[in-house]
Amino acid sequence: MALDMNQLRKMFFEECRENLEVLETELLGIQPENVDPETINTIFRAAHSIKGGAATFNLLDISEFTHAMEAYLDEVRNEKLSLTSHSVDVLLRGGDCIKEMLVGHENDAPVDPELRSTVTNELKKLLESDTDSSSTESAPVEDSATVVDQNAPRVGWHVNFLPHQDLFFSGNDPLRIIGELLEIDASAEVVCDSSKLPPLAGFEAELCYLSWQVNLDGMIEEDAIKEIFEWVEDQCDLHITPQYGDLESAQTDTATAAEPEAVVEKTVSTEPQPMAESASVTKVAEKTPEKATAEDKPQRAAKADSSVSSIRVDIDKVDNLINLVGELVITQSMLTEIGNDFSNDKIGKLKSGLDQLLQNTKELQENVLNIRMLPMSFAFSRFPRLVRDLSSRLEKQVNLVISGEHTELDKTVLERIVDPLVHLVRNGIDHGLELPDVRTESGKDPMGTISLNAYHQGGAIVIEVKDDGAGIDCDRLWNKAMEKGVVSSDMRREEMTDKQVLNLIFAPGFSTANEVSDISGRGVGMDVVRRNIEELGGHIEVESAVGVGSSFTISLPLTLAILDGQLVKVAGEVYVIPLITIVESIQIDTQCVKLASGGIELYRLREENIPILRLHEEFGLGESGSLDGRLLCLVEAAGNRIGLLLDELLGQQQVVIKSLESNYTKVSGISGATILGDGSVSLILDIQGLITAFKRRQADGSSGGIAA
Amino acid sequence: MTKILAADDSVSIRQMVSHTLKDAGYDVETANDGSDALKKAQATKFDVVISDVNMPIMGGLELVKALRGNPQYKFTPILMLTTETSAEKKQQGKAAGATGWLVKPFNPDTLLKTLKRVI
Repeated sequence: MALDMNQLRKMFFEECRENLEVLETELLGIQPENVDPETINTIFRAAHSIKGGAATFNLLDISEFTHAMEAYLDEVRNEKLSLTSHSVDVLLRGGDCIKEMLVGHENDAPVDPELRSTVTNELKKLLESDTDSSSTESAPVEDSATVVDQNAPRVGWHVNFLPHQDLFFSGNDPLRIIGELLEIDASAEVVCDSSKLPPLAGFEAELCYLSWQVNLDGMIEEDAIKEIFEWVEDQCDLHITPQYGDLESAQTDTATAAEPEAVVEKTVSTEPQPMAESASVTKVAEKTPEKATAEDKPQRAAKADSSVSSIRVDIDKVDNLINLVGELVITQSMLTEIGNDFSNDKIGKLKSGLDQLLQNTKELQENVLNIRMLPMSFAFSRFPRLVRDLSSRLEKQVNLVISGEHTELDKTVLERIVDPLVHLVRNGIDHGLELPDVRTESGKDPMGTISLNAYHQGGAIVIEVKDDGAGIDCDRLWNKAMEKGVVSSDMRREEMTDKQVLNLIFAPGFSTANEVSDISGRGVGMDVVRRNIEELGGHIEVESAVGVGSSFTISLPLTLAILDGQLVKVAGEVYVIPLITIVESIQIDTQCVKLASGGIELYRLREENIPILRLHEEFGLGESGSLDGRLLCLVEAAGNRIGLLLDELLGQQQVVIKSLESNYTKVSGISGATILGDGSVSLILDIQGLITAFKRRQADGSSGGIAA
Repeated sequence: MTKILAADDSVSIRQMVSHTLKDAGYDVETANDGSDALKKAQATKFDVVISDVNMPIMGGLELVKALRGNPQYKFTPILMLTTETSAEKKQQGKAAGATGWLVKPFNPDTLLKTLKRVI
């Protein structure tokens, strides 16, 4: 099994992101004047892991950059320096830099060197008093000491190795060390000195009483010898002396072996440590450039499949699945048993077996879907930073309250809801919250609150974004809408409820901001937010009260693979209407039906005119006939309502969505297909598409409009 | 077969160490942090332990101390895999009872070479 570097690299990227998240979250939670040492440790560890991993994967820019952060954090950890709100800022920006570099490595994108060097300089400034520690490790230090005696005619090395008695307790073994010496010089001469062995009565088996004299070939580098003793240098008395010239001295060496103490007293060398160290550092530095290029290539080649995303699943979830599959297998074998030798008296057993199968399948389904579920915190976690940055830029005081971050949501839905949420939070701070003095004037706390909340409701997840700002003034909104031509000029304010007016903020090309700022109003409006949400099969609602604040409520399906559907019958065909779009179903009272210009039938329901769409005609299934007493299913999408004329309402059930587009072709008015219990295929209605098509036909055919 | 326990809080490093060692024919088990490693070491006797220094819950130094306190691991080689190169850190490692250290960046050849020094 070969090492798949790309796979590991991908894993590292993922891990690095997690560490960055930890870094950011912890930093955001810090109050510089009162820092918990454990928090600093956590932050340090995150930086440390990034550095270590980056170095391992040859991402030297990241490891070098992170080293500076780590060095500073280390000083903080050791209480030599203390955190300030400025240094927290610098560290946060450092995290951003690393993130950028990561993306750079993943996509071969160039990284803005300016930001990096600014942050590096600021980090250096923070470290000012203690800069030297940062340079020792990364810069390869060429050591000249090793070269010193190379010119002399060296004939051998005399190594005197006297382990301390407790050497074994570090897991080291002198015999292994001798063995290594023999590996670099097979002809080495080894003499063991056992003179320190105590009499048997006082002998302790776990202590080391022996010492050794080893004579090695002079061609061997001193560093190579020192390296072997590197781990035990402070657990032994070690003396390495070069032997020059004649054979005599070598012989005297063996002679001195009888009295090792004398040698020890003369020279207890503590030198090898720094030298050996710098040598190993140099080696690493030499290797890196060629290695970096060699490994960069496969990385680039693998870029194409970077879109293949992975998911990290809690091991408990996997265990659960395995258990369930086990259960399923048992049930299956039980049913096979019954089937092999079936008689009518076994019908009860068969039924209970089938019940069990149903139960297993249901649980399996739930658990499989659960694998794709991630907690909302994945989306929410970015907001503390966003709010922090925005509030300081806008000079507003903002308190961010997050709840329900453990609520789980499908990964795809979660990923696609982030942008709309960011937009809403930005809007809330930029347009919603007032400046502190304005708030004080109107008797509010100068610190505004933005709250994010997520919870489950039925088969859906609800995400709320609330602010306690100025609220939206419906009349002003109306005027603005008129000005921008969002509503047609013949519409009157009185004809619309406040809620309908509020919904105008979702109209394309509508911005409530008076000026386009760099924070919001860059052309991505609330219409995009709504479209994104609706593409996910969800919807968004807004509520607002002047002076009290605004609240946006997003409902989303838990997953995109399964939906709660209402089965309906139209001309003998069964269709599925997504339950989430259904407002209500009513029996038609012909007295409430009016005919508008262009032949459009409108149903008057509680102050509202709802256009009727006859599905029979829409799908070319024949004439639908008289409306009297028939069923009208009121559906809503994008704030527009329409009544669908049906023959029959069947049951409600969860349906597994199969794409029509990838299996057949895109069909307007249909969002997908599903297979019903009897094996027949049923089409799922695309309510949004139906309404849009209906509106378009109407606009083409007449000047009247759907009352939104 | 030589049984090795490798503890590191980084998944990628853990995988890399484990792959390298398995490729070289060792029997490898991994642990996510010191306390996980300690638990595993108590359940099975390992011939060599390789551990990162900075880990959540229980760091490498604490792990070494705890293992050395266990008669089964009195003389077992324990290597620290670390980015810390300072003499001070190494001294701390030694004092805790570590056998030796491997300096990151992790390199498969170095790991195997270093490992050979203890088994």
